[in-house]
Amino acid sequence: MLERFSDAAVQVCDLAYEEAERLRHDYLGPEHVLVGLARTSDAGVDKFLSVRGLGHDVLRAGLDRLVADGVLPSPWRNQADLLRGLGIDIGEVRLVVERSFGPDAVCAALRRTRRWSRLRDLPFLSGGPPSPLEGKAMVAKRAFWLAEQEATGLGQEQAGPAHLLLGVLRDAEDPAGTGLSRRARRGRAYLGLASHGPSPVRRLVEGAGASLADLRADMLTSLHVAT
Amino acid sequence: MSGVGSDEVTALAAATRSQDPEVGLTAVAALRGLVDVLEALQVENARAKGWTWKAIAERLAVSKQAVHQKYARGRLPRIGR
Repeated sequence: MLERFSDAAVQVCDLAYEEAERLRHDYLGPEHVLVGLARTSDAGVDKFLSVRGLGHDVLRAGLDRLVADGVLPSPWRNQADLLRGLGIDIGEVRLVVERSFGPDAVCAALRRTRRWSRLRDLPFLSGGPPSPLEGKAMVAKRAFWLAEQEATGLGQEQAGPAHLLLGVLRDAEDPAGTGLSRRARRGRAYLGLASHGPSPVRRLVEGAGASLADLRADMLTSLHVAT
Repeated sequence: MSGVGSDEVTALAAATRSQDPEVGLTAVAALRGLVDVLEALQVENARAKGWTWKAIAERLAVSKQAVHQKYARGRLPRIGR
């Protein structure tokens, strides 16, 4: 999915992953990517955000508040922790299974249990709740896809952090859960995410006194100045 | 990555929340997600080793039709044509 992402953009995804881990979230969402973007110095994206009141610590505090308000999942929903509560060490299970069948077989079994969706060709989260044996659910998929569209629109081969920011902002304009199948909405509900109302990124941005449209316009201007 | 402290917190949280249906049900769904993958893995392996659907079904304690319907190839790509 990240073939067209530049190294810097992939690095943002790693930072986003770290943020999701910190919150014990089983998914990687656009809100985590936004925090990742606030931590990347590439193309001055971190500076761009911080001068508009969206610094790394502001966003982080914003995420914590959204968790406290129940907009984002609480840490207790972490599947590995829930299974540990039942006496199952999922890391150990994964190790044993991969040792006996190989990682490819585990991937194939995961694909098999994900039922095919009519929407499988669409770039959105499909399928039901994630299995604890797979990585994080890609809730940010639509934002990633939009980032690639932004890069294409600007005549760029690769999507960098700036395009990623545009993708996240564009995705956030629509209500949470836009374009998802009923099954995918169920998947979101299982994760503890609403499929209606303003997107978490919109809440974050507006909570910090910024606006999605202004950020987008400013980012586009700075990209045009740079080229 | 998480330290001993956070594990303790988790354990404590689990203990205080063990009576909460929301937590219990979510844990069951996580368990089911795990079992589904393990089942698919084992069925795939048994088929590769030449096991019949009947033999697999016996070991899984379900009907052979049930396993066949769930795992036989050709079923999945039918949807969404």
